[in-house]
Amino acid sequence: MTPIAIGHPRILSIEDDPVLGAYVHEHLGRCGFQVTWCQNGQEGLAIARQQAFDVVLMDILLPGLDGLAVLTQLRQSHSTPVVLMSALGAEADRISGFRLGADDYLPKPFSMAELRVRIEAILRRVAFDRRPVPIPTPPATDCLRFDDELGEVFWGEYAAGLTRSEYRLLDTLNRNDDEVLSKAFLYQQVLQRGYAPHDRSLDMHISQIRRKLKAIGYTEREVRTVWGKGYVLSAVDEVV
Amino acid sequence: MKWSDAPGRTVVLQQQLLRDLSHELRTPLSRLRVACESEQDLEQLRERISREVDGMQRLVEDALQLAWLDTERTSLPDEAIQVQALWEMLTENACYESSWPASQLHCAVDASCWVRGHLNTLAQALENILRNAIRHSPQGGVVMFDGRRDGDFWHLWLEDEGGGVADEDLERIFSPFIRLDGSRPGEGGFGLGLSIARNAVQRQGGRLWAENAGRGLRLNMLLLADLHGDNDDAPAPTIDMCRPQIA
Repeated sequence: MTPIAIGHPRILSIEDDPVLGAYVHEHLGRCGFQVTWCQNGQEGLAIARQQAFDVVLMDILLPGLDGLAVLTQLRQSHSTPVVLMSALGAEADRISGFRLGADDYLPKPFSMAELRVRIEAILRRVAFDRRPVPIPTPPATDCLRFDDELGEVFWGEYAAGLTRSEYRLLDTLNRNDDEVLSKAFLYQQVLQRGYAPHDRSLDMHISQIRRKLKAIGYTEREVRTVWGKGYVLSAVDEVV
Repeated sequence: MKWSDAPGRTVVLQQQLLRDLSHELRTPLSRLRVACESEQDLEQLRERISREVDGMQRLVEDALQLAWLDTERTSLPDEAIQVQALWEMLTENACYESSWPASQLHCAVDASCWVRGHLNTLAQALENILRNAIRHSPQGGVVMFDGRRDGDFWHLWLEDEGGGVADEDLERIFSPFIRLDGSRPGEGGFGLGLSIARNAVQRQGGRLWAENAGRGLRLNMLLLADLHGDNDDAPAPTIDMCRPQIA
């Protein structure tokens, strides 16, 4: 994924575990982020209200004020993207829906690489949302025609019959031709929610797009899986 | 098999489960302790810890998932799912994971097969069944996926060529931590995959059972048919949407 071109993004990390907190602080610092770390919910909320941050990382079980309360109070005045982190796991999340209001949710344990992918996905979505005018779809190199109004793609006279989500997904991949887009980013950008490993919606949309392009005889490019990284729309024989 | 059920009847089963789980969790812990005390080479130690942590993480996730599936009682939101698309998604993953050639996974279910279900749990169920079939297949074996409409349901089945199991084990393979010794090829895993699959299928009003058929084991699934198919992709009514929602 393209490096984020806005200098050194500011991250507020609210994590009470000293070992994990210090490690996240150090690691993200080395990756070029400006990290502010605090270990208490109340204090974290105060800092998040006073200073501008690009992303807030927050544990759910915190001393002082728990992460969900911090999130609720922060949301009354700020729309800063928030990534929740917790050992409560994906199942608990699915059942209680506790990540309402958060931009993403990262179940513990997670790797630093995964954390970085999630942060970059959010930064990139925000940068995308802030563009003054939408960039017109690049002229198709191979005549796969995107019709934004109909939300449909055409190959010659044949319409693929895409659903809205499938169209947005294919359009996003097409606009970033030959670039591998992470699942975390595609969830943010297309499905407007965080990515969870057990969530198969995106993979299912990809599966349908492949079927539908094949059905209208379009074979010049295909949506390819780049294992451990994401998806890319590229020519069949191209090495990614 | 239930983790929580009418008291009394299942106490014995729960105790068995706890014994199994303790054993499965303590074994990698003891291996780690031994490694910490005896391993001299730092690189090897790191590699070993990483492997054990991966295994324990899988075990903890599977066991917790089974427990959640089994204790949660609210119904899952359902949507129309095209089985062929689901199969293609799962086989792409499975072939990558297991280095299986796609040519040994056959799908005879056609595009008209749409079921109603909860995508994530149904995908998990079918994925576990598929992994199980691949794991127990002989060299060069074929796994066949087929189905037919049965009234309001779709009856789907997945058949391997792994020789099947003894008739008295056909039900037992769905119990947690059951790993049959015997002539079936393949090993590994914690024996939770089929328990999770059965719970996942039952959670959406379906059934999952096993029989010996042809040259191996056949896993049968009964799922509610969807009458309309691919007519809409209004956001699936999952509760884990993370943007603020108006109550």
